[in-house]
Amino acid sequence: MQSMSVPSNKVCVIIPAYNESGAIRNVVLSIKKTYPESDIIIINDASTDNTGAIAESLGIPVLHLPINLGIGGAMQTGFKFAVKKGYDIVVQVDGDGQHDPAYIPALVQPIVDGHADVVIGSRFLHADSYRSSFMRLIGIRFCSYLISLATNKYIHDSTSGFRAYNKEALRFAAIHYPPDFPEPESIVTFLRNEFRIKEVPVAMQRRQSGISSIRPLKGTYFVASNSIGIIMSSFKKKTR
Amino acid sequence: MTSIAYLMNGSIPSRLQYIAVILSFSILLFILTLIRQGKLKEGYSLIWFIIALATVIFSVFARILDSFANVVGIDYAPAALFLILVGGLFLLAIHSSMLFTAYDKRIRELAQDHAILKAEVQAVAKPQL
Repeated sequence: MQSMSVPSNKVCVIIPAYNESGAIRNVVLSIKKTYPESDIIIINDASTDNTGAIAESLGIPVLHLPINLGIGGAMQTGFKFAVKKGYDIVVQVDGDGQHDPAYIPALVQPIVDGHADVVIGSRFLHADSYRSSFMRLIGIRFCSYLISLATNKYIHDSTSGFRAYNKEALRFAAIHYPPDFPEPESIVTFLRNEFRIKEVPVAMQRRQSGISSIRPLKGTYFVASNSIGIIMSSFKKKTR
Repeated sequence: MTSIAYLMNGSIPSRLQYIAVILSFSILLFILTLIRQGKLKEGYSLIWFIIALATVIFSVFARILDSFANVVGIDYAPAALFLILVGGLFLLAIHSSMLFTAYDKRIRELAQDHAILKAEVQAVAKPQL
């Protein structure tokens, strides 16, 4: 592990990557450039391309999952690792390059200030509004609406994976993170367990390469699974 | 003795009853064999065992099947046998899904621990990381 330059808060950026050989290097290099005070780890979710080899060449720790667990299981691996290594703040940045590392300080600031436990980078709060397909927008809105029904809180970008967690949220997520489509469901889980969630505006880029884990044909399945996840997690017992 | 014979003599046609008795006993024997050979873990086979036993009881003692059919409002008693079987299979399917879920979690945790330990071992082997 690299030594930390910031004494107060140990920050770890976790990059989940599944077949991101085209983007992963740039993602890591731009984080190193824009946020050098953080450690970076890559979770290679049993990629079938050479993502693993590229990740190894970048001089940062790489966790290679022996089987593909999906984004939820991959992130949870990172959470467990970060808990074990005693990090205070974890930032999740997707391996496909759509999250601009320039916004990492904005994500981390509310946690440093003690205003939030989980910070979500929202595409929809940003002036330079995110352009997306109509269907995707409908899907995200629907998830946000369901979450607001379950929790009385409206999260604009419920599917955003650009997030920061404080130590308590991190410890919780290491045990209770949803495995399959974790982003919307985890919002409900966090809120129900009285974590404070704050959204900050970010700009997101189109994917640099690779295939989104949400393919158009799977969109309906994605929304349906998320809805079930949101509804079910709103009935689950409080675990904190 | 006569009361047992009475219990065995229900409204189900006798040929159908013979077939049902033979089939349900075969299933029960088959499940017991699998448990004995260690091909079916006892805990997981409990529901199978209950289904097979229920089928045996209801096909041998047809009068009990009649009473059951009467209680739930089925006119044709052999159809009640299907209801019992479908109910049992339904429970079994749910139980299987519960097992898959538990295995899914175990495998996930194993994979995660594997990845973390492997990275730690590598960090020891290559201290520049």
